[in-house]
Amino acid sequence: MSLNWERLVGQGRARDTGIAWQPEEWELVLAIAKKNSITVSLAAEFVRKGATLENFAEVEPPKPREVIEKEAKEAGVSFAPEAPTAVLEKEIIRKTKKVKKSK
Amino acid sequence: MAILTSDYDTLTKKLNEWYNEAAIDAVEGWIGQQFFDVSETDWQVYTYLQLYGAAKFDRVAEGAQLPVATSVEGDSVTATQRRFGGRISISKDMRMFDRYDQMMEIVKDNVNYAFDRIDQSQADLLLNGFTSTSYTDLYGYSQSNVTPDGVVLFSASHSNNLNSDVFRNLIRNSAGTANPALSRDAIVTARKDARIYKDPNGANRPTILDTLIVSATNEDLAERVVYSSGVQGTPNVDLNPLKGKVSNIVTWSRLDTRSDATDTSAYWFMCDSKNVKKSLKSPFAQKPLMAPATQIHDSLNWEYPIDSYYTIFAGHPKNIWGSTGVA
Repeated sequence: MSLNWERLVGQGRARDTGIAWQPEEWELVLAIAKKNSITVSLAAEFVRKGATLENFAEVEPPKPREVIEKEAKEAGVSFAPEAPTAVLEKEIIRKTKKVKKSK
Repeated sequence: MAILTSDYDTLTKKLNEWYNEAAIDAVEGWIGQQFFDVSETDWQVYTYLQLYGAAKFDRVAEGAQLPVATSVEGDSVTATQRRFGGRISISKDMRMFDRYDQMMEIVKDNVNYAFDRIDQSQADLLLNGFTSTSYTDLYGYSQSNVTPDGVVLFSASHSNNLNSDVFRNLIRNSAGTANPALSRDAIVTARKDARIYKDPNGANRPTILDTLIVSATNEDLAERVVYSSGVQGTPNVDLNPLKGKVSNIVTWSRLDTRSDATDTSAYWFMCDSKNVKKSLKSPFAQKPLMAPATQIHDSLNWEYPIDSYYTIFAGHPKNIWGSTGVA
């Protein structure tokens, strides 16, 4: 069985491609979204970064997609618009490290 | 003596008769088909769309266009047909000495086994529907246990593709504790929760839980809770309202032990009998079928394959509710 994981992840309804939220994680996403009046997709980004209800304010806010796309372009990552954000972030790190090494 | 190629047709006919006799009995005992959509399909890759209430029916001004219902609001999944099967081997010794009783046993036993496996694989989807994203099925392969919204089959917070509304199909009791043991209170609360379901567009779409599905272990308790003329376990003289509300109790013995040998006898489920097949999908490209042996091996065994094509997945979860019964 294959789900539309790309969309589910993008909307914050799944942890990652092929990985569903565990019940307690999903409840946390919903609780953070409700408590802080933010969208489920943004709350999901916070939970992916390790946020809880208690430490929410201390977690660095996730970068908007546009910022990540800009950074990716600057790092020389060639990508299609549907490339997942998490993949772009990994690619930026990989490219940046490569550049540092070659210096 | 059925040992010559010329005897092959006669023996095949006999085996088919035994196969059909056994299949009729096996299908009767196949509980899963009461809840799973086991209709036949020609599609190898079956696409399912879960809509959350996208239908449109609004007041329209004179000359104006009618509103359009769209599938964009839904979640979709694809499920691929898998082949399952085995072979029945009729040895030369069996044929040489006319051991028809043994041949009959082999055929009947294999037919029963095929339907046993199908039925258990369907029960396992329910029994594994409380945690994780997938589990190892009884064939040894990974089987997804999430619904099209990406949430595990039984959840307190199913999502949708339209807004951030959530709905539950995880049974709780009146105190709000999830996964309660089978009890009158939990049944009443589940029925109430299901009836007040609203779709993401805000329309009331009550789910009527009229069927209780229990393990053999819970059969007696279930019948006492539902069929007692008074309220079960109390000395008062109140009528038992559940008696007419839950119209069917199904004892599914495969719920007692999951195929990975976990004791799941406390698990119990409720469903809306009219709509449950929208929630549990198991389309067949081919129901189990015995084909004639196509070649005679060096051993001179005649081998008859029994095979089937089917798949299992969870659809819109609102019509099936579950509890592990641990709380």
